[in-house]
Amino acid sequence: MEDLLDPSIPDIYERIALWTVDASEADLAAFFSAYNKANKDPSGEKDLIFINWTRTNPAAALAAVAGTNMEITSWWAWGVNDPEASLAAAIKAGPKFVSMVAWGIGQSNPQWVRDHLEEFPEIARGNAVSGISQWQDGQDPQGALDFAIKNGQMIDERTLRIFLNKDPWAAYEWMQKNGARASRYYGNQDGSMDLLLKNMATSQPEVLQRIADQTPPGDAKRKMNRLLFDQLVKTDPDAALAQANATKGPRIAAERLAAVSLSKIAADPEQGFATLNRILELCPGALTGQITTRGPNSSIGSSSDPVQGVSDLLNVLVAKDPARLLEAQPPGGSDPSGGQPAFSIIADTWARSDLSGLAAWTNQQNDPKVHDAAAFNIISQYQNQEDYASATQWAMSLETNRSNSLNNLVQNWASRDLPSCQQWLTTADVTPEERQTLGKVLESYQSR
Amino acid sequence: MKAALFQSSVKIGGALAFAGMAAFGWLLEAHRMGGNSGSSSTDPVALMPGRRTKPQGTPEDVIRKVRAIRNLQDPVERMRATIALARSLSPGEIERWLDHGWFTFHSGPELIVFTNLVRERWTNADPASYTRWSIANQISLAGGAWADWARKDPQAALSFLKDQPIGSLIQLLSNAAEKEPALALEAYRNLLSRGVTAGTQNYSLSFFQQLVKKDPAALEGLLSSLPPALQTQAEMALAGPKLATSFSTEIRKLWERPDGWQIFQGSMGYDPKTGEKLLSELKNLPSSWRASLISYGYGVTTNNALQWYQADLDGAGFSATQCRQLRSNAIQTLSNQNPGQAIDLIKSGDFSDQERKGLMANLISMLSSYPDKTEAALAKLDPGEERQQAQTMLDQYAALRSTPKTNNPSDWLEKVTATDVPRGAGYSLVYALREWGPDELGQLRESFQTLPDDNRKKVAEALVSGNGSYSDMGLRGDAISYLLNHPDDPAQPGTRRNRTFRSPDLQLASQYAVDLGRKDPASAGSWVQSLPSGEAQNWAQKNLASTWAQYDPDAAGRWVQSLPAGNRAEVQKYLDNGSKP
Repeated sequence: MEDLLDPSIPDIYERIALWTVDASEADLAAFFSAYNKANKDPSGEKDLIFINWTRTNPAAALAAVAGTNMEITSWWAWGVNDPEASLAAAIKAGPKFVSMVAWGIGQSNPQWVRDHLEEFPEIARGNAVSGISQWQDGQDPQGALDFAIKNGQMIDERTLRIFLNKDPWAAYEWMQKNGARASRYYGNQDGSMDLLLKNMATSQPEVLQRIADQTPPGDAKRKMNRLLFDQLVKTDPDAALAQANATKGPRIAAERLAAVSLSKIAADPEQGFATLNRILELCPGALTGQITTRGPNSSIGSSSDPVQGVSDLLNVLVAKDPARLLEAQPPGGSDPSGGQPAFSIIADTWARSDLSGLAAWTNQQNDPKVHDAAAFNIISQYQNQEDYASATQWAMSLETNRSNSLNNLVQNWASRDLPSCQQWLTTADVTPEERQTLGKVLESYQSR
Repeated sequence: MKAALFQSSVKIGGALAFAGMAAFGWLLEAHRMGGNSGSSSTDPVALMPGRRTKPQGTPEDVIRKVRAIRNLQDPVERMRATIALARSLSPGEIERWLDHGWFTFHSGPELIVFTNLVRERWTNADPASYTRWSIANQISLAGGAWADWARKDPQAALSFLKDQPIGSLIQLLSNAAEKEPALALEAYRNLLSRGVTAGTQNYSLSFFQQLVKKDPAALEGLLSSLPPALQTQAEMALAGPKLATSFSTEIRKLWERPDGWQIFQGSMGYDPKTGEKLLSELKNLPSSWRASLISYGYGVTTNNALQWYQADLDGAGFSATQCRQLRSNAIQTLSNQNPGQAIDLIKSGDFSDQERKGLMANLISMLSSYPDKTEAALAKLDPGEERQQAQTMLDQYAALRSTPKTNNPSDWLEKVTATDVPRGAGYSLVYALREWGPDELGQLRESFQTLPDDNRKKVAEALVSGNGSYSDMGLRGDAISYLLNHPDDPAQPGTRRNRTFRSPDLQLASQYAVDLGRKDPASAGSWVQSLPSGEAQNWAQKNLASTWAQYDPDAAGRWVQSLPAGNRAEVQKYLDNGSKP
């Protein structure tokens, strides 16, 4: 028995499984006592003890750990072995025991749950149903998924994969019909379908290719092609690059170029800089993915379709040589697609990853336009960190819009920490007009 | 093959030594079935373009083995047979068994034991392939698997990570750090040289927290090689044990730093006594920390909420408003942990009526997630109105949580067109559509077309109102097209949607054209042509063309060419001008 007490033994689960299946009740009780002393963390091995113990003498197993943190395991294990008896007993014993037992029954006896769902007290039904999705269902994956969505549960990814492996077309059709409901917990209606397609791209790319070919042009087709392209980047990077270069749609080209570039970035970061420049030429809005809707006088709306990979590429390059990226962009430039200009996005990324680096670079800039544009991002980042002292210091260094910037800052600072802000104003080197305006702001917060 | 397997099962467990009908049945089946009813990869028909492939069947020997287990009546025999089966599989076979879910017997503990057992055997036999499989199939196990591999073959395991995408890797290393902190750290250093991106900050924090539990000195050593953004994360992790051992010294160091509160907040999970210790320093808190405590310090009350409620907050220098906010934070924590006690405090505490109502509402909403605590909590309320109101709120929450009951188009239409539709009900009815399947939505579209005018208008307005993005695209398009073709009588403007835009029709039509254009450009093209001619249609054409061209300039160009001459010229001019007015 001693060699079963060490959880670091590589085949410990197997040893305990073999020993417990034949162990007598007395042996199991003794072993549990020793194992519990030696190992404080509950684990799969302890489950084995109770699985075997509750099969032979549930009452004794439960009694041995009643009131301890192993109580849950004992009821769970009884549920695993004997849904009917354990549920009846748990209902008599109280709601928390019903929850424990339901969890065990769900994990081990999904069909019994489906057949007897109404017998579970309402508060435990959720546990029973979600217990089912803890383990893959190979018997009837489609039935399992149907049951999950009917009962408001998340679908189990492993069961989805089994379904996919069994019959990818049926899985796809199921998802077309049920994807929206299955995505309830994803926060976007396509979450489950995306999961399916992602898995299909690695396990059955030829099926995915056929589905893509049969799908009319639009978002769905693009997603599939993107997944297939990502596979191509892995299997044949030269072909992938050729395809990227031949792509006509600027957004798609940008995405493909980014994917290829990222795959080579560790070995050859230099091509990353060239690629990003090319991406911005082809698709100026690539950094934000913004799509602006226009009207006769102004923009009337916007939506976003991020160009995948471009942000990641930017992040890697900013980590390597942010100054170089920033120097390649005009500070006041506007993005023709209506989004935030490239300079601002790059500066913002730099600010979030290395604020003092950006600050040092900005201090060296002689062109006030460049200085102020970068300072804007620095101020913003200091505010995010609640470091108002530094933020105001930078606001003081602005050549244009200084007063407005100070005003905004002081509003935020005063609402968060009035005393410190008041302290700052007493010695701040502001103009008399500024002092008057800011003083009034502070007064208004004083009275709150 | 089949005979050999039967023998090996007998050898291993001795379980199948009995000469039962089940065992005999195996051999009969083997004779009858013959051949493999598996995949059709050589079927020429299946390879034709556009043709579905036939589903893969389960191999015969798999079916037999599982049936043999299923047919055993004695649970001990079944368990022995399950263990024997698990022990008979090679890593390659294990992978297929897991990927296809071949262990279909699922009435008892067998599947659980089988799955755990084969995973252990796989990682022991071939940690490299098990790691690869886990990364793709069960990321939560991948860290442990990689750690097992790294222990056996550090070179190979470290090298393998070089090609893996960074995001999931850091999560993997967080788990691996528990078993093999030194190797996980080395892998993390390799990652740094690849340029860890800003987006991985959250995962890095959990890696640092894991590392600090095992080897704080190692994390301290890593600090200087970290990019600045990650240094803060590392300091958050390092602060945990430091504050736990010498709180008063360490907290004073944090007070001196502008990012001090940020670090403190990030460290809070480490020591359960943090809330208690901070309470003892309340009088000394700098003013910036007081403000942060109220806005972001909710977590501080987790382990000693009652103490926070009862603390002498005025004496510690907090303003009256701040005191009430802190007490309210404490009550929110208690609402979760001990609703009965929280109710007592809400009733007896120094709160305004409005604050009391807010705290109670918040408590009841939390209670709705803990039905087993409800009865005891409700008993604390006055019987009669107070308890009744609480019960009503709980019932409403329960109704919200349950699966939407109506996927029935005529039912839905009836609700939306009812004369007394309460505010917000239209919104939630449209929101519910997001879970409908394509059949029901198709029926709804058909029904929409046959509604009498005044009802159709009502439904159309509901569909394009505030949360219209949840309505099905086709239905939404029908609604917008209807509204544009049946404009409001200027004398009776009605309750049309968003009046903040000067031209709501124009905005609605263009935004929809762009949204549909991304999803299904061909349909968007036809839809735009279904609009009445005028400014709204013109701009919808321009916006659609310009968006479409970003994805597929050829197809967009062909569509523009198909437009009537006047429109065509205008749209082309717009595109040539860089999509600017």
